[in-house]
Amino acid sequence: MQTKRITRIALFTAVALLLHLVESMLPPLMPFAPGAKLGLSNLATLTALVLLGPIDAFAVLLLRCLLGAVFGGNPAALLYSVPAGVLSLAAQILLYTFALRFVSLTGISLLGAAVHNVTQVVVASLTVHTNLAAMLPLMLAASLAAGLFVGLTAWLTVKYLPKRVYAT
Amino acid sequence: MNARKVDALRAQKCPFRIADAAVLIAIVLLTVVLLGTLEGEAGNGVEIVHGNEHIVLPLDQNAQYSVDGCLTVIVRDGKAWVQDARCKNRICEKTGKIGRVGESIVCAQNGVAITVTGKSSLAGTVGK
Repeated sequence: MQTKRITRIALFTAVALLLHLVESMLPPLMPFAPGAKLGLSNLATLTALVLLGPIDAFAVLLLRCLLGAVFGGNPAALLYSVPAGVLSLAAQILLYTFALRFVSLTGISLLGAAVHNVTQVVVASLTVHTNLAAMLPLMLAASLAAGLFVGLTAWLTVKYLPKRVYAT
Repeated sequence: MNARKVDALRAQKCPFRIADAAVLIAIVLLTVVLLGTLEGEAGNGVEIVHGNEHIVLPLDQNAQYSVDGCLTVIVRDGKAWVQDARCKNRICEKTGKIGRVGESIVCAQNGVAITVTGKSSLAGTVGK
């Protein structure tokens, strides 16, 4: 059981890392919000939350942040990705655990994207000692697009992923 | 993993549920409200750019600055406006008074841009 669990975490981490790296090669997709990304790796985190559970999703998230910083060659990225990722996943876990009867994966992903982007603006403000609140509306608008895209993709993934990938 | 939840998710035909609208509306509302506060913020300086000339006047001090040959910028009571435009269209005069962060007066003919800047120039330049 433990071996299977570890293997699944590794598999989802690999997918998350791959999405993360591929995304960093894409040109900026949302020109109105500088620095905003689709957050494709949240696709792996969200799918992990559904198929592996909250604790394993946290493992996938933290491993992806760490490895992403290592492979991206930018350890400072951890400062932004870890707090944003943790808070965003926490919000998603809350919705998933208590409100799944009312929200879909799309709604969960939307909330996650919004929390993620707001946290990043806060962290950025604290880092450069400047009030960057002017960025908030742009980042929120970007999170709408990103959350919708990732949520729909996660829904399709959960729906059509063969059962043997995640069930014993 | 909660197998019952996963099976329920896999059985869903529609990718949306009712409370998604609540999340969506909350984010849109927050965006709009924040946009409102952003535009409402009073500026504290006015930046005049004309070719290589680059001057920032504080908005809280009354002043008068003439950009040579084409127009005069008046700063009074936290507002800035253009007077004595020496051209035919006088678009810059018709733009009226500006005082909120991001507002600007542009004279295309002479290449003059007058922009209100905020407390932190970094925040004021985001998105441009």
